[in-house]
Amino acid sequence: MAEANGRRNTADEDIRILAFLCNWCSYAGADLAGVSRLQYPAQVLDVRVMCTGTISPYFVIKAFQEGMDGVIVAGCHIGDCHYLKGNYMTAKRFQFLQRALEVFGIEKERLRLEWVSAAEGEKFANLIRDFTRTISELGPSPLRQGRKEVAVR
Amino acid sequence: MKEKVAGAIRQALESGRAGAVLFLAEEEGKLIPRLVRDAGDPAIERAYVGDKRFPASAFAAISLPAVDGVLAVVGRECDRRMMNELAKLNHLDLERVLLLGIPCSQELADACGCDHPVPPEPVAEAEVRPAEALDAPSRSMDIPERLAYWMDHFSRCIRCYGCRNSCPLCVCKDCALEREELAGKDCFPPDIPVFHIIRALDMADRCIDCGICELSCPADIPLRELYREVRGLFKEHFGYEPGISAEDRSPLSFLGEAADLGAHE
Amino acid sequence: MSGKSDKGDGMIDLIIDDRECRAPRGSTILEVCRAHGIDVPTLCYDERLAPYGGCRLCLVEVEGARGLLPACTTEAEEGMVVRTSTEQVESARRTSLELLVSDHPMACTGCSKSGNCELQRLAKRYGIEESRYKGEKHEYPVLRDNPFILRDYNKCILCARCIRICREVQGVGVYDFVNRGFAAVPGTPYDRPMVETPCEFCGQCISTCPTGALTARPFEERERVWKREMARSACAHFGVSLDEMMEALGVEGWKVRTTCPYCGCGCQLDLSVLDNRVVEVSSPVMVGPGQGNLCIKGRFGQDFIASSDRLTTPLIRRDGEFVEASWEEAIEHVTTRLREIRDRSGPDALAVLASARITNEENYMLQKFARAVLGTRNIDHCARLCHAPSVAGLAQTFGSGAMTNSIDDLEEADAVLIIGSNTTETHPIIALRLKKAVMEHDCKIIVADARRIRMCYFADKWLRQRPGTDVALINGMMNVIIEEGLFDREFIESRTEGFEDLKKAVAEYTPERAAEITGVDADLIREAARTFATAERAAIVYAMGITQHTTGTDNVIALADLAMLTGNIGREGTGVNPLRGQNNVQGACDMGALPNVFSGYQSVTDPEASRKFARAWGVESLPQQVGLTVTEMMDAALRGEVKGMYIVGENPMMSDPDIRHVEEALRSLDLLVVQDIFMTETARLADVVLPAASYAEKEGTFTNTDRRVQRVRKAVEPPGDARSDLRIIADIAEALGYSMPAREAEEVFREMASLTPSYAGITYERLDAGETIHWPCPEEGHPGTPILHKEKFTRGKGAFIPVEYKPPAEEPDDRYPLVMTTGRVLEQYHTGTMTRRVPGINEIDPANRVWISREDAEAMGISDGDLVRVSTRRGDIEAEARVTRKMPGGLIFIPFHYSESPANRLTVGRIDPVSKIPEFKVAAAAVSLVRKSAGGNGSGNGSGEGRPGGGE
Repeated sequence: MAEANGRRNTADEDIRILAFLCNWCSYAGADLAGVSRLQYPAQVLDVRVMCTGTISPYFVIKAFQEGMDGVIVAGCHIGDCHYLKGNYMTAKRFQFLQRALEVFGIEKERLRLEWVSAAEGEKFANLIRDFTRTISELGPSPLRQGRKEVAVR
Repeated sequence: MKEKVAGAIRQALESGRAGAVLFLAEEEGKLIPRLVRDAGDPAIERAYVGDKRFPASAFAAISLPAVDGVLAVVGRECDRRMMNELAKLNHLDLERVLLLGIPCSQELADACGCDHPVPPEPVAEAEVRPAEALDAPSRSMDIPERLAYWMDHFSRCIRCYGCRNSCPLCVCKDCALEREELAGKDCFPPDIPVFHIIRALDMADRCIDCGICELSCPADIPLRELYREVRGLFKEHFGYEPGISAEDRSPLSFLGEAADLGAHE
Repeated sequence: MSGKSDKGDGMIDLIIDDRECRAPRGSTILEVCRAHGIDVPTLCYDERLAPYGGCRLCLVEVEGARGLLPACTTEAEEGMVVRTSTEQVESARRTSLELLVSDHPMACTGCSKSGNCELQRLAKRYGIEESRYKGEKHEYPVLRDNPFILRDYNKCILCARCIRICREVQGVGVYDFVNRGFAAVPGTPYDRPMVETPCEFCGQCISTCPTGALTARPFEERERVWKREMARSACAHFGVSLDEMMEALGVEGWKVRTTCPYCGCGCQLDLSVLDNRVVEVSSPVMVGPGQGNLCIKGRFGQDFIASSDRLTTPLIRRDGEFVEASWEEAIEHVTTRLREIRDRSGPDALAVLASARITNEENYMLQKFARAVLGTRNIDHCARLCHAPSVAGLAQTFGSGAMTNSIDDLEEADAVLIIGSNTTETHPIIALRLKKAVMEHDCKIIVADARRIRMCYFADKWLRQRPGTDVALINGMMNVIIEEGLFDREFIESRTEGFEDLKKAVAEYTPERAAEITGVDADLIREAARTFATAERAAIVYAMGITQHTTGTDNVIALADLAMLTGNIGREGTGVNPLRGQNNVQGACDMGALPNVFSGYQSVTDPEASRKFARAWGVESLPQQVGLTVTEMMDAALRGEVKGMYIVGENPMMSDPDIRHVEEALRSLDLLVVQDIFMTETARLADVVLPAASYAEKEGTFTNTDRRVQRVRKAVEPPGDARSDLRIIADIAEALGYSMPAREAEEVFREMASLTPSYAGITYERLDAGETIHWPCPEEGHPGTPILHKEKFTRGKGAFIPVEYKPPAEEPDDRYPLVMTTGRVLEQYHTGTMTRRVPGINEIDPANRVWISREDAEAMGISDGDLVRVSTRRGDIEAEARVTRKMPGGLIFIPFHYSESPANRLTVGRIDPVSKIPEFKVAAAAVSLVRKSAGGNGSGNGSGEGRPGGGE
């Protein structure tokens, strides 16, 4: 499968990953990774939200619909949520959604739920590296061509 | 059984237990819902107890505002579950509704693959066993096969909204399926599979398998199978099944406690 | 077969399905069937339209004819033998339906027309769920290019009803078929979005479309009404209509029949209600003045009922701020202050403004309250600003001040003089009748208006008189009629008096002199006079362009003279027809909310009338002098003579002339109480604001412009703590120590009717049974009086009163070189309190503009779309310039609806000496450029003509 090559929108096999990061923890962690000059593959698009609890499963599905090969939802550790319990909803929703994806025919590995704190720059970089590898192995999302492939009867 | 049902309706009205009764009647070969307030109403003679399935309780929320006192509904077990869920969505006050339960026939139970064909305290007994679950072709497929299976079905969708409009539990004023940024707008056909997945995810903790959606779909998409699979998974994951109890709420409808979050970290 | 046996009664006999049927000669077979309850399916038929014969569903077998004939276009003949349901007929119908269904998305369960769809009903009846005819299906994009009409041509069955209704009824013709063959589909010219066409958004197309191809966007799209959608979906399963479904489910008040709250046409509305919200508006076909047709306001302007701006609690001003209060507090506060002022300065220091928007019952109560409870003689309402001259002028000439004919019989006119009325924009439904008269039997319309209004397209002659010169014009016409012997000698001799005086006065107004004063060509005046006088039936239709002048009463009298001169009174298609603006201004006048009369125009100075009412109302005596009018009240307030005002449902801060003056006056009061549904510009100045119920939230009656008393019925509950005006007035009266036991609208109506001869025979029972009753209706059994003055005038003989031309109060000069006139536009209603809270209307009509002629604009360096300042001696406002050919040089036009740019800041407060109406129609103004528009050539529409349908 294609190697992650650090450039965007070039070849067809380019991996596209969307990461939902919460403002207080995981986004700061990503920042820290950047500031610390930790190397990780560049084709991750981040979306900063105030709390992962505001992320609806619909957005994740929409991300896949729009051709994302993988989606990361990274929030604060349980007990550390800036809004106290926001990540409880995150946990419930996305633990379930991962399994539900299989019902629809999407590999559950394409959705990753992680807790990354603001101090865990290293963890963030590892997460990205690891996830990118997983996605590369899985290949481009079957929905990427989905719209064009299926004929309208 | 028809006499038992008619009798139950009259009894509910005469005894004052109910101010009105909602049921399906058969008139001139057609089915029509009827709301009667008087035990002597001739419509009661025409109460329908056959195999054509259209849950009368879908109309309960519409009829209730004009009823003085309790509204009794002649319904099956799926009606009972429907009313429980409507109550959880604040569209029905359970104190003001009463189910006059009827069992399904074996043929109907088998056709629905229903494991709960008899409501508690039905107005008439019937010999009916829980049926075997219906075949779900997608279950035995592997993941790529499954996706192709669903995309093939979804490709016939014409975005008529029949599934959503006919669903008695699709009550949101601001429907995600009409949000351009989520499911596209007016595209013929709709963006798939996001359109159907959105609905399926909502049905995970809400659907009570009445099957009107599939009946309404002009493209014969096997919606019941899809929602059943998601619901089954939800039950496995959270131990929650919609409609069974009027008190238990879906884990996705409240924040809860850390202790209930299971094994994650 | 067609034995033409003439039985002399114009009826024919034929046999349909072995039944003997009798019908008027000239009926179509379909009409005969319908009259006898024989069901023949149709899809392209609408009672409002000429038969089309397009859908071929109404094919029937006629003995002796070759092939099946379409019942809708075939005339029924004497002795015909018809069969409406043979094997061949049914097979033909099924084939037609299958063909229609073959290109139709059969997805009824999700369609918003399910339950109301004629195609669905027929498909269900014939058991057609899918078609054997396979082939290409259309895939049109759904068109949402305007806030009101949704077009989904995938569902279109090409019945052409939309095309036909826009052309035949509305007279606009926005739609037509485009393309050919399989690609044929209704469309707009060059496929433009509807907002760029002359579409008036009347929605008649939606009301006639038999499928879901054309649907209404408001109510459908703001938030999902899931109950209705679920019921619709269920209709598809059960094969019943939505109304049947709602009835079966026991939904109360699903369809409430009431009267439109906007203009004086009085169209009937059916409001559909779910969960205390109005979710649909329709108009019953062939019922009421509208006959199923509505305008943009009636059909799409009901959003205001549920607006979050509605007043919901009483408010009392404390320390300069409004503070919420309970009803007890508010009533206590109001009554204490009212009593204070009355005790200290006498009852005439109080004044009441009644409302042309509230019901008859409420207006009756208000004038009773003012006179019996407060003891003041000062009660008036906004009729003062619109048709006070009609009441005064026609009372003098005829003895009765109301529209003499009915809206229905206007259709019969052979000629109509429309003077000072932009009918298509202010009374669209009445305009439909006039257009119908033109299209069906070549009625000759004479438009007399300085602006090129839309009615000019239908006119035979257009007189472009200078504003304020109407007396000269009409006198000029009468001069010609007398000169050329075209007057109705017999009528004049038997029915009138004073002709010689008129003849003498009018002799001076030769066409040449009239031409000099009015600016209208002398020969054109001659031709117009001849057209009017030689027509068999000629009617006069007029509105504010005649009344809102310092010579308003004279203008009306001149028109009355013209009608009598030509014998055009008391017959169908004739008469003097003042088009009253508000939904219940006629009623408010009838109820005596005027300073000089009780209900039924019984004079307050008449001792007998005064005694009668005093006795009925249980008081010793009632004020026996004529009180102050609205315009006089403001001056009296400034002088300190009026210290307290109670204003109900009126907005003088937007509707009165010279609003700076009004503001001063209102601010000088010791007490201002405003009772309304919204926080209006007037309410903002009040000491106490009382939240009232809208028309949809109470019972009562309105009387429309043709004296039709119609029911208003409660559809939803008022929001928050808002109460009906009836209840509020009664509560305050009781708190002042006067017992008002009658709290139900019907009781109050009965009390009023017992004291009002013209209403005495009208009862709720008769109205609820569906009777159409025009007053006078003096007793129960009397059918009402659609046409007045049939045998004699109310005063006996009609009085010719000669009037002389007088120039307007304020004429242009060097500083203010232009003549400014004000008026209305179709989309907005009066002070905008209701229509400016309708999102869709604001989208297409967001802001004020001033119409300027091309010559004037060029001279001032102004282009279309530039921001300009308009100033008069009273003040100035800013608005966008609309440069157009429709305006004559020297004249500008400004609508008065926009509170951020209120035209009445500019108008002059000079009044007609008799009726006290202000001269809204003429003032001297100046225009200057503020800022050039960004686009250089105006808001997108370079021609500067603006939206053709908007404000001409």
